[in-house]
Amino acid sequence: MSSIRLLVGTRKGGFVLTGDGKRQRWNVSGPFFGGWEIYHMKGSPVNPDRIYASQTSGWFGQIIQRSDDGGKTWHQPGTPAGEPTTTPDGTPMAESNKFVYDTSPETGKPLTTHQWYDGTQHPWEFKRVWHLEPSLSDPDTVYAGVEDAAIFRSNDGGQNWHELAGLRGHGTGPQWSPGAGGMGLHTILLDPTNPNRIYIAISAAGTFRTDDGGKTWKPINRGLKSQYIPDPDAEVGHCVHRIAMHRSRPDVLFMQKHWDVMRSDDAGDNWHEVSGNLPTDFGFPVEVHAHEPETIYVVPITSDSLHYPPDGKLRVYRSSSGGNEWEPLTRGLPQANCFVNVLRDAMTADALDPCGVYFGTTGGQVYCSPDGGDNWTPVVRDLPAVLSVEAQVLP
Amino acid sequence: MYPGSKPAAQARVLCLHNQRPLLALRASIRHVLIYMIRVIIPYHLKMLANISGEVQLDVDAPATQRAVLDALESRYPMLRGTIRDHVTHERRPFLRFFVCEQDWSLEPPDAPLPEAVASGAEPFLVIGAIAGG
Repeated sequence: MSSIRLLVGTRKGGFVLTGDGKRQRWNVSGPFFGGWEIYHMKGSPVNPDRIYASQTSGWFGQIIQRSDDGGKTWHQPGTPAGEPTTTPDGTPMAESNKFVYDTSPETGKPLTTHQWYDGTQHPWEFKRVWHLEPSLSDPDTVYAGVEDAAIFRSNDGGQNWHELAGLRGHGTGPQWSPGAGGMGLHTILLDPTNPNRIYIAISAAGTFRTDDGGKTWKPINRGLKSQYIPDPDAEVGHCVHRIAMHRSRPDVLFMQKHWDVMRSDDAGDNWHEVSGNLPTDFGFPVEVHAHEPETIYVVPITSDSLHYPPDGKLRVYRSSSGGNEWEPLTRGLPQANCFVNVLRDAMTADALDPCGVYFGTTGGQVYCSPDGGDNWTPVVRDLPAVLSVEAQVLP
Repeated sequence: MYPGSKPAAQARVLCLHNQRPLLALRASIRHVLIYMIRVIIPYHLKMLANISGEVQLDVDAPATQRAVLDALESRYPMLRGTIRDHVTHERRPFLRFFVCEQDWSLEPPDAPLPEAVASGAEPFLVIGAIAGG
């Protein structure tokens, strides 16, 4: 029988939760990298035992960790535990934590500044990796979304990283500005039917797409309206919190924006609002059911000023019609005195049948629904604040 | 001989604590002053580099902050970028460098370190800011 592995990144370390196929019994291992912020962990679709982790710290910067045995042991790519860290001539084997923005003359782009909070131009400064997205076809290829917003790629298992500079250099980069949480590239979606198409999203710049494998990019924000920016219909500047797709329909995208839940049916060229009857359309994650492309999930949050659920009731909302008509899912979730948040990368679904849905909270709970959202139970209750949750189905 | 020291074949004369380093005669018959510098780094960096206790480094004269950090990163490449920027080599904002109960964080990186550090009597401290929850 299949089993489930959840990769949980928290403010104080990473955890691996292993569950049976019924998703009733769980084993918890961790923390890995205790005391460090683990923004994201994600496994390769090609080799589930190859897992990448973003380990970061305000003190010590960015580390990339890799496991080749499903999370039992970890090492920095290029410096395996117990092996030499340098070549015979003393050169480091790899620099897996080196994220340097591309300023090469070949790009010919003014890549050095973006808009700061006060409207002035500010140098791009690398801070951390928010999201790691392993390739759909090669376990050694992985993309990294970073703050200040940019996308990097490694083709050697995370040892060396190179920026896909066409994103920052396409022209609107100097207009991008950070939100209160920083200017992070937090979403990377790889089109399973077209290896040259990638979607990314940035807070607070918006959504972008490449159709040539990352060389050139364009903003895809038509239809977004954000009252908190000078021009609500601007080409860039929207605070997109998360986008999601179903792998069977990669041209259909769902978005949780700062406010508004949005949908696109043409690969992001045009968006329309599908917030419908949600109690509030502010929130962070959006996720798609593994087997029903029109079934989507969000977690409404009171407002941009009050980052907790309305009325102290933790409710996931599900739409089975691709938006507009939503139903609250409450069975097993606290319906009083609950004031946690669910962050953008902290919700996911597994590919078992019935589909499992999971989310982690800033209160340290990880909830599991083994039946598509009808019923919820906590897998763990007392982890550090959860930053990210990813699910893997193991044979 | 301390962990990580150069092979005896290099005819290096060990320096002792509280004593100026002695002349080291390498196999190539070059005369080079080598200091043994003691370095203490924060817990999380020790975990990252898989080391315990303090680090002892050979540093060619003159012993400066730059020379110490170069030697540290050479020995432990996984620490590159964690104490100072990969490219600019600027100190990360939440870290400070202390020697002999003095904050040396803002001193020029090529300024000679105090005698007590160069002699190994006092360690070079990398300190993380007290902050966060």
